[in-house]
Amino acid sequence: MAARVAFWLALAAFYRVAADTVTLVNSSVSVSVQWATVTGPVLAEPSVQVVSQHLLLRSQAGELSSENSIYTNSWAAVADLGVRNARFAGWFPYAKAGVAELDPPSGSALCGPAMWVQGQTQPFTLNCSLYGGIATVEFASFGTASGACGAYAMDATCHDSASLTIVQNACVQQPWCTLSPAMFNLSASGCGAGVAPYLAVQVQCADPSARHTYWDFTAVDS
Amino acid sequence: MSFSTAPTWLYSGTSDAAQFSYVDDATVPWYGYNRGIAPALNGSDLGAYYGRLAAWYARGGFADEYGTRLVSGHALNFTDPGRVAGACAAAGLDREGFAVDCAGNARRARLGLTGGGGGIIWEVGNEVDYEHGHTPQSYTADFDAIVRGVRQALGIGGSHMDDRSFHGISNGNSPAIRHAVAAPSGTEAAEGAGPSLRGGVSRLDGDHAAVSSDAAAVAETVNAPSPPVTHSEALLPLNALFFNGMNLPNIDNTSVVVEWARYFLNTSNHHPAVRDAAALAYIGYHAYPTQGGFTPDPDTFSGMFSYVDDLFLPKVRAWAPAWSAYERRVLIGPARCADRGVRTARSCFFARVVWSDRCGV
Repeated sequence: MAARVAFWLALAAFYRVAADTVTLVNSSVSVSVQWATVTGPVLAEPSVQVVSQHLLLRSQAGELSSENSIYTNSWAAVADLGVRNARFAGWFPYAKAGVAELDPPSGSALCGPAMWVQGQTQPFTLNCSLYGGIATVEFASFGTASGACGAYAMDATCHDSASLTIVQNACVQQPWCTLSPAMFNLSASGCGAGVAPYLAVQVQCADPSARHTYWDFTAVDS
Repeated sequence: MSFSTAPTWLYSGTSDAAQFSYVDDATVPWYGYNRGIAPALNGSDLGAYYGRLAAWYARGGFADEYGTRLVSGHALNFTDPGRVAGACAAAGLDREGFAVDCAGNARRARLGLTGGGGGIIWEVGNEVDYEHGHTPQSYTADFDAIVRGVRQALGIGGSHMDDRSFHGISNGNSPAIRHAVAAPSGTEAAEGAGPSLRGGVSRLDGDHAAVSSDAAAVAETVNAPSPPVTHSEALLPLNALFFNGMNLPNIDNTSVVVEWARYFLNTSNHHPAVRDAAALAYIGYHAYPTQGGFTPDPDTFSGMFSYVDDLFLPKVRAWAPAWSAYERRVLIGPARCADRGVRTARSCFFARVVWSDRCGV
């Protein structure tokens, strides 16, 4: 239901003017307008609503390192409108661009991003560099695990049995590690056709006082 | 501004195991993110989320749920105290303490117009009756929590407000909260901070006296950069920031808009700290001029005006008597407009396709 980039009208002054003359000449219509005659004020002005979406991100196609010309030109065009009021809305179709804390605080357990529905594509980093490095891998499953950070549960019908070993080798005793779906074997996961597995992983940092949140303004501020 | 979407983990009530899911690629739209049943599990958490957003952009950063300082470097002027400074500000609060939108009124005076408007507006939610199964009751509860959280983060309000959790230290680092992190859900310790899986959370419910010297000591141990702002800013008046509520998707569904407005605009349904005119400054309802033939084709632009004139404004005018039944501090009725010398109710409404009501609070 919600709009995309849509024009809207906002508070201020357009003035209606009187149509002075309407003359029919054959099949054409001639209209003259007395601009100086105000018949009544309307509290309206052209303005703009901008809803966050990928074309307005600073970077293209998720590559946050390259400038997106659409971004540059679109925002310049919005600025050129000179509207007195503009409505900016970040909303859920582009969750990463509209929500800064997509995963809940997880206490001492450090987890990867939540389970994705449309397929995990991006690598992610587990970082314990401030807390003595990564001590243990408490859970790892490339499959269709359920639950949430702190209470993951493996789905035996769709699980790469090498998941834990792969994550341990990559992460334990490292200050941080970067994991990617490409590190796992889809054919070995046992998942049925059409099922898109994802990596659910949970580690502990060496420092037991570590507490983790997942604030991320990377896309929100783009 | 409208940071419309809250984290879904703040809501629950769904059996969907993938409640917290979202699409991995920021450039791919996915309409499955909106999950969980309103109202939010914990209004304080909801308010804290939006408060931290406000602090990120307007106060250079914030302390997260465990007291770690996250620095943005942003210093956007959300509250714009300059707009309410000077002579107008001196008269900006009526004897009941309700805000007057000075900037908007002054601008309109220059234009020969009267009525409210202007200033910076924080829109609370977007087309919320399509998200989380919101009802007027649940939305009002969430609205109040968000307004309180944002005000607290920005230092807006009177003595009942306390923004300490967003500056300097966070009570999320208090021993009680840390204990709650490890406590099983349902235990006494976890009750105050939500389920243990959610970890510790900052509280906003006027219980900031719980922030202890011990918490401050813990915060000092956090290995994070110092924020660029301090907690030395004076509290801002309520009218430093206006809020826009409801924001329903379709003006053509008259019964829904009226049902929501009747509940939302009744001050007795709001938290005592969210009954002032700056908090309840606007209600919004969206309309779609494509129904009038408006498209991006310039040849159809006139369709937008015919839509507003022929379809939109008649509905607004028809609703005006209903609005006038509420306290004038909340709305915005024809009688109040007449007080200001405006002859018709029509002049009292902002003619927006994304539309908000406000008139001379």
